[in-house]
Amino acid sequence: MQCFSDSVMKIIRKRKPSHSDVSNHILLREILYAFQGIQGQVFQWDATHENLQLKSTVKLPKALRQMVLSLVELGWLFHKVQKYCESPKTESTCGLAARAFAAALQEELSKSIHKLTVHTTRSGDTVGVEAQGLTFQRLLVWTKEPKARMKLLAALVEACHGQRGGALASVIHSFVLQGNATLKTVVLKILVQVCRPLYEMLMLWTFEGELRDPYGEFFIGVNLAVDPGSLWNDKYYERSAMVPNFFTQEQGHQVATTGKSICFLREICLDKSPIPGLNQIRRTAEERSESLLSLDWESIEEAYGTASQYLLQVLLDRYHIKLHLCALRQYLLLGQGDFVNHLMKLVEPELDKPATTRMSRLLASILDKCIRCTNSQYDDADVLKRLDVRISEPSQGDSGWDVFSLDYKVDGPLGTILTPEVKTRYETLFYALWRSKRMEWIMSKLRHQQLTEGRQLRGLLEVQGVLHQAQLLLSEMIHFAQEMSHYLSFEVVACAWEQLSIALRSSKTMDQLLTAHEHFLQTVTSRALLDEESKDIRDHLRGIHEAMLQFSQIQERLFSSAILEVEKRQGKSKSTIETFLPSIKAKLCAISASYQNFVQTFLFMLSSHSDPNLQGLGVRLDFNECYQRKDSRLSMSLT
Amino acid sequence: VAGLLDSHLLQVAPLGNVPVGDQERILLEELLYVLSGFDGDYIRALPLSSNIDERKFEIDESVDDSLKEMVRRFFPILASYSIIERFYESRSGFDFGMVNDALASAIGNLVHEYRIFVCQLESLLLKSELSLQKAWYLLQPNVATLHQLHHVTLSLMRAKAQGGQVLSVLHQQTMEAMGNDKQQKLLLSLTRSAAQPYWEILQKWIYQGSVEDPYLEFMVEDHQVVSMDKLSPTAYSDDYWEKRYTLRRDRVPSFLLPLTDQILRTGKYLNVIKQCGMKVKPPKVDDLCYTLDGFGYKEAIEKAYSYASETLLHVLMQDYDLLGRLKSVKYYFFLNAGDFILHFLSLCGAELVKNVDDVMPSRLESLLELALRTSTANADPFKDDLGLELLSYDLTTQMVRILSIQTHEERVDGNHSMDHVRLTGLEAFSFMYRVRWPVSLVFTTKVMACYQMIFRHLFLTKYVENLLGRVWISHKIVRNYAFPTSQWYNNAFALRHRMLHFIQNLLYYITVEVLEPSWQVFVEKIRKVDNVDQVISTHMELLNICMKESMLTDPALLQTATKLIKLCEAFAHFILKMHRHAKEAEMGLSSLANVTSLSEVLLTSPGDVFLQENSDTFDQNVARMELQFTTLLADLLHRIAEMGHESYDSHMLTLLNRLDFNNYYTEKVIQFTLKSNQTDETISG
Repeated sequence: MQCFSDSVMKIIRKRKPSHSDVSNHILLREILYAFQGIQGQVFQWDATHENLQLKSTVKLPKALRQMVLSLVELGWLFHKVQKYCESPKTESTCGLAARAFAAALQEELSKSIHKLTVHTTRSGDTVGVEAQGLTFQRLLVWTKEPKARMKLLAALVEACHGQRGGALASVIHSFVLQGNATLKTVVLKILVQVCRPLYEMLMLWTFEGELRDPYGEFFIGVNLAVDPGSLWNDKYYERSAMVPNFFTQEQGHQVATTGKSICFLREICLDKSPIPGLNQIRRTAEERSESLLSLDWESIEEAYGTASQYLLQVLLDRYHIKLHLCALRQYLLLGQGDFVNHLMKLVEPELDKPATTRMSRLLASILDKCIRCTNSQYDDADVLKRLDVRISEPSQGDSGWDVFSLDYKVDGPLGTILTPEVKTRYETLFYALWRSKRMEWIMSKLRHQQLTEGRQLRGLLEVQGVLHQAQLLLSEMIHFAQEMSHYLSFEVVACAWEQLSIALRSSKTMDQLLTAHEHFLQTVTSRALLDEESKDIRDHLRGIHEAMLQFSQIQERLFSSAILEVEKRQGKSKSTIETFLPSIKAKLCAISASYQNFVQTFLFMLSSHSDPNLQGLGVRLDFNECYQRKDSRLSMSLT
Repeated sequence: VAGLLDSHLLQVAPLGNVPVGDQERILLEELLYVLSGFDGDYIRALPLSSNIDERKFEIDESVDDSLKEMVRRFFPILASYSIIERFYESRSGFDFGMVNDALASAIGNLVHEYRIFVCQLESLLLKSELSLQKAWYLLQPNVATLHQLHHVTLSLMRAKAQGGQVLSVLHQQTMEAMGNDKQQKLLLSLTRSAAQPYWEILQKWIYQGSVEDPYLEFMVEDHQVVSMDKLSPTAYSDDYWEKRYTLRRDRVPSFLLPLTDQILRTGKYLNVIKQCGMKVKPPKVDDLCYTLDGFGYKEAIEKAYSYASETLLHVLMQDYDLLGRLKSVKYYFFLNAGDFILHFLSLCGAELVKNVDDVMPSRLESLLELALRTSTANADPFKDDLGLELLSYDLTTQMVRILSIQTHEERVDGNHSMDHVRLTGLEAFSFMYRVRWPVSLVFTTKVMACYQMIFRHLFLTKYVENLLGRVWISHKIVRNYAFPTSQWYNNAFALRHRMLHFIQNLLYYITVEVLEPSWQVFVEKIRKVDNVDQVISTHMELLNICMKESMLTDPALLQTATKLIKLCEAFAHFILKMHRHAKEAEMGLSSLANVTSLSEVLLTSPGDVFLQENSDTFDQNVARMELQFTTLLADLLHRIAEMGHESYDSHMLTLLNRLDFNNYYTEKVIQFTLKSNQTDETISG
């Protein structure tokens, strides 16, 4: 193998530079081929390193060998990029973005091949190398730029291996942030090409609500198995990995919500008409933005605003969301006083009976009657139609009170806000509020009994002591029941409702509406002691209620027996007072004690509760420090 | 691998055997390769011990001596090239950040030009028109450039500079090259290219408020852990704000040092504006560019800053009603509304005199709400934001701790003494104001602490005034007693009167002469400000003045004043207690034969924590209190007089004039000193 230094030796010997000797020329040509990864006389392909190596037979001077190796590096990079370009073409599953990436790379490769071709032809076949001006040094100068470019492409290929869709765009975008301006433009160009399919998807989704994504590359996925009721919450989801990293989280969310709003309008509200103004926005967006990178976010934001606003408008105007939410508060959360009181009066005899499933129809007719004789009759017909009675599956020993609840039937877009899960929460709230209302009701009935029937017992001196004790206990209970009821209806429901109405007025998107409603429910639930944290307190409240119910039975017995006694005395019959009075007295004492105990523990738990509202309730229940004096725990300092 | 590579090498014969002319030709050929950074057979590079070493070269021994010398002259160029190449190889790419990458690419371009020049030398060689001497001569213009680059790259590599540091180094060198036009031009262009990515990050920050800095080069660091909207509003504290964006001083390019603060705040403000749901549309100017004198970028940064600051101010003023907030805070903390505070005092008085551990915060909370809703405060739209707090230290301790923060020992002492003190509810009590983001930008924790201190001082004074008022009422009743009994009280009457005079004047002074005028001045100023920083500084100024004039900042003065107030409180409690006992005795007179007269009750005073000796009679107690009061007040007046002489802009002298309007105390002090002098003299005599 003839080489550079040999030629030098010849020069030394003959003083005749360049000619006849083709070794330099061949080497140059070989290098040009090697640039494209083609092996020949000098280079051979090393499969293990995936690299071109000098054949072992080739002998070169040190400087030249280094230079040749440095030049051939380009071939290795070229090969690497080319390999990637060829691989994804065979698979159709890798997605549009990856294919676009391969195409962009291919374009770059052809460009560099073109440049090399120019050099190759310049070097000619048989014409002297020096005459054409191609030397190793010049080759080094010429390849500087292509090599840097190819290095970048190779790095891109390396980083993008196995990536697809939005994730691919993200990876490429991370290369945009670099100091070298020329290479930056190359990356940007490739990125624009890669993003083109994504851009089309985004525009289609944002302005038409259509998801055209055959390979799952877009950052919004669809869950087809979802039933229409939960379209808003579950059908479409965001693939966080596929959100290009040059979008902010919020921007991604805006895009997702815009399309979802349109889908919701089309599928749930069955509103096929075009959303006013959206087409205009689309036109401006298309004018202003060329690719995903230069996306006009103002237009997207505007589209988001317009679609959300329109959806909200439809929900408010056509589906009267506010009206239904109000109805829920009026009926399920016992906001309508006359209706609730009347219902309590009417259903009481029925619910005192053991629960059966058959009572449903009777109760429905009672509800109907109740609506007709209260102010509810003036309520919207649609609302009244939806209101119904619900009897949950009774278990052994349940009374009617345990299974009775009001129900509100929902469909269509309303179903999105009032999902079955939300309805269950309303039901739980109803039970709690209804129970507290019932306690108040019973307490006032007992007071009524004490005032009216008590008069008949004036002559019966033996019972006066017990009667007084009952009055004291009842006063305590009335105070408790009324404060509780007042707290629930005013401090809990009314305050939260006020917040909800403000939020409803100011909300601009469906999500805000849903969050506001969720917040409302959460506040009410936690303040009404129905959340996880208050489980123990709830048990004590139940204990208090049980004590009240027991007390009511005892008082019933006391009065019936006592009145019987009075009648007997009038009729000069034998007095039976000794048979019932001691037992009633004892029971009353026991109940009084257990009630006190429950209330004190309840107050103690309230005072250490994290919610200041509940602490306030504790202070109000014990406004004159009556319990504090009785229980040392309550007067214990908090610090 | 080395063995394998060696097999590719051609064994070369020593050059000494060749004629000198051919030696030169061979050396020239090799030199061109070596100039391009490759290692030759005759001109050999020696191995490096570290990456930042200067590379040494050697030449084949057998070469003709004069040629050897000739070639050696090229060695510095080769060394320079070597280090530049090393810089280029290591700094281009992503490992050392964008600034280094940009600089490397700019240097790469210069190297490229140099290589083209080597190519030209090669063509000359091929035409046999080159000699070592000519090559040396032709290379000369490049030597300066290479040398300069050598210097720059070496210093950067030595410093392992990155990001802003690179720019600092470059700026420094550009400044130093002031005398040499050509050099400076070169450095200027390098700095410009290197600064380009930095400017881009900076522009993102000052125009959009986002930090896009994957290689940690920028001076502002964003510690975003959770996105803002996931946090509850309470978490938007100023503390969070301080911690979210931090300034990395080491990454600030030296030419941006004076603007650092502005840059940081610009981006922060933009973020605040964005979080308030407003659009950010800063004045777009041309792309920033590095200049030696800062022309262009300084102006642009200032413009961006003033935009951000003004917009934020607008948002705060218009959308968040900052002025209304300030008024509301003043309303509660400066005791603006008499009916509210009196109502509150009468509701909570009983609760507050308890020990702090026995006070129920929830009870106070509901009483506060009652007071708020049943007084004129009801008209305040922000009334729900007022809360209360029971602190674990009293005002004096707090003040002393703040003022003695420098000396560590005192602080330890302060902590130590605090454990023993059992506070009453009144001492621990303070209002608390819940401010939401972004208003909390103005009402920082520090600011609120100042408000609280002023409030606690005022509140205590107001409470004592109220108490003395009750004493006055009880005295009214005593007056109706028969002559000898009412005589008992005369001294107490006089002391009560002096105390009332003191407390009322103190209150009047603080509220009417300090707080209100300063507030008026503040409001005037705040209407004219045009950015948020001015608001913050003006606000701080107001608080500082108020604190200073209310005698809070001087520990000795504060302690004296507090002692006086406490003494008044003790006196009032004492009198009220006495009165109660007297009443009980009077009522019990008919049934209890043992207690013969009112005077007996008065003579045996009950155990009181404020009185050292239980056995003291009523008169003695009053007399001692009077003495204490006079001494303390004299002390206070003395201090005020001293302070008044020291500073020219203080109003405190008016308090002096007011308290001592008829020279009562001056005379008293003179008498007192005379007396003590006399006693001294008698003792010494």
